Amino acid sequence: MTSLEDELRALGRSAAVPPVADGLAARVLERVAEPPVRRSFGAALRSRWRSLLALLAILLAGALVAEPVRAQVAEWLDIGGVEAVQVPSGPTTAPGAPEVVGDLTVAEAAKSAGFTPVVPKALGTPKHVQASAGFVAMSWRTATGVVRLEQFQAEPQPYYFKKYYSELEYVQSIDGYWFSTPHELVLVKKTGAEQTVRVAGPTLVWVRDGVTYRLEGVPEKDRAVELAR
Amino acid sequence: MAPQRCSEGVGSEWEAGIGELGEAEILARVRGGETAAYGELVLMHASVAKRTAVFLGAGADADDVVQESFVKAFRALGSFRDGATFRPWLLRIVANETRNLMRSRGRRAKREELAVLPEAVLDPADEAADAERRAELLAAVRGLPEQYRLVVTCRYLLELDEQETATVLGWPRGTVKSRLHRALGRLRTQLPDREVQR
Repeated sequence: MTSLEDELRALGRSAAVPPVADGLAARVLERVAEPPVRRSFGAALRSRWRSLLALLAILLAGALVAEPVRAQVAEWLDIGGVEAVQVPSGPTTAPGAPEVVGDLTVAEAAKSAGFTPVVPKALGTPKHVQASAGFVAMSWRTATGVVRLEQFQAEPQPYYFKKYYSELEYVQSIDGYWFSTPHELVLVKKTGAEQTVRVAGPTLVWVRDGVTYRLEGVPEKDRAVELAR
Repeated sequence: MAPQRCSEGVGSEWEAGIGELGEAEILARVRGGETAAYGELVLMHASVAKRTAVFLGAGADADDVVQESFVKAFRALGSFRDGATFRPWLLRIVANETRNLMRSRGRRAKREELAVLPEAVLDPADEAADAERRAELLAAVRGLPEQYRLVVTCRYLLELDEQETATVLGWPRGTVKSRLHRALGRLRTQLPDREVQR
């Protein structure tokens, strides 16, 4: 008379798993020798912001120059569906945030995105809303220019955004990052091909409940953080 | 002399000790810039990684998932805590990669999900009754809601301990415990009971 637990263990042992592919180690080594081109393992980082902070400390300490491996590890930073890569010098100016093209209602956007987007109360009803599976963008016209909020399910495969930045700041109250300087916004396709979208101005990026948010067009950090709450 | 005595007394513990020591050393070398040393870690953990990928549903894509996971693990080494065990941390990446793969399979996933667990190999020495029981058990596990299937798969089919299961699935330990309890309960009600002869 064996217990159900034992039966399950026996079942696991009896299941056929073919051996690992030949040359796995060689292929892995080949790939890690190249600079990272695809999304890195973000989930673990996201769930442990402590590690993120540690990583950030390395970034900020500028300890990138030491050993090649450490440098590679420190060069990227995952924030939900956004991968950030530090570069020695970034663009110095950026045009204002572009307006969203699309006139969906928020409810319609929720339907095609497959999740319910958040609308910051302080900004009121967005002027334009656009959506596709897993992705919603909305914009407002304010006295100081266009404010644009993009939200997407944290891993918007096959795409994700990559930013090349020179400075960022961790914002503890919302567990997000403030990109204070203009940076290049790049879309990476599943094939690994990169497409420069545009240069973006100061942006706040944060993740909440599996959704990544990018808020652009609010040049003051405190105001942006307030809207993000 | 001492090592020999040790190996007699607590064989597996002794070996595990060496294993961990070796692993920490390799990790230190990798982090120190010796990329090639990572190959040793890959070889050390490749088979458990593949087993995990297959059991969690990667199917024919298991090799790709494993390769991708090792690459990602390498790039994320900066977030790996010194003194932690590499295996559950790696398997967590494997589990995430597998989930991503299944998600990207999209609508097909529903159908393929049913085929998540590999067929049990029927040991020719087994009695026909055992084979039948195993097939039943396999079908019952396959039919569990995802959370229950995941926890049963990690804890029993892959034989991870409770803490490892928690790490791999990214759940608190208490959640692992309670879901496991409920999953076993469900399996018991679905299976003709053998534990108590009727």
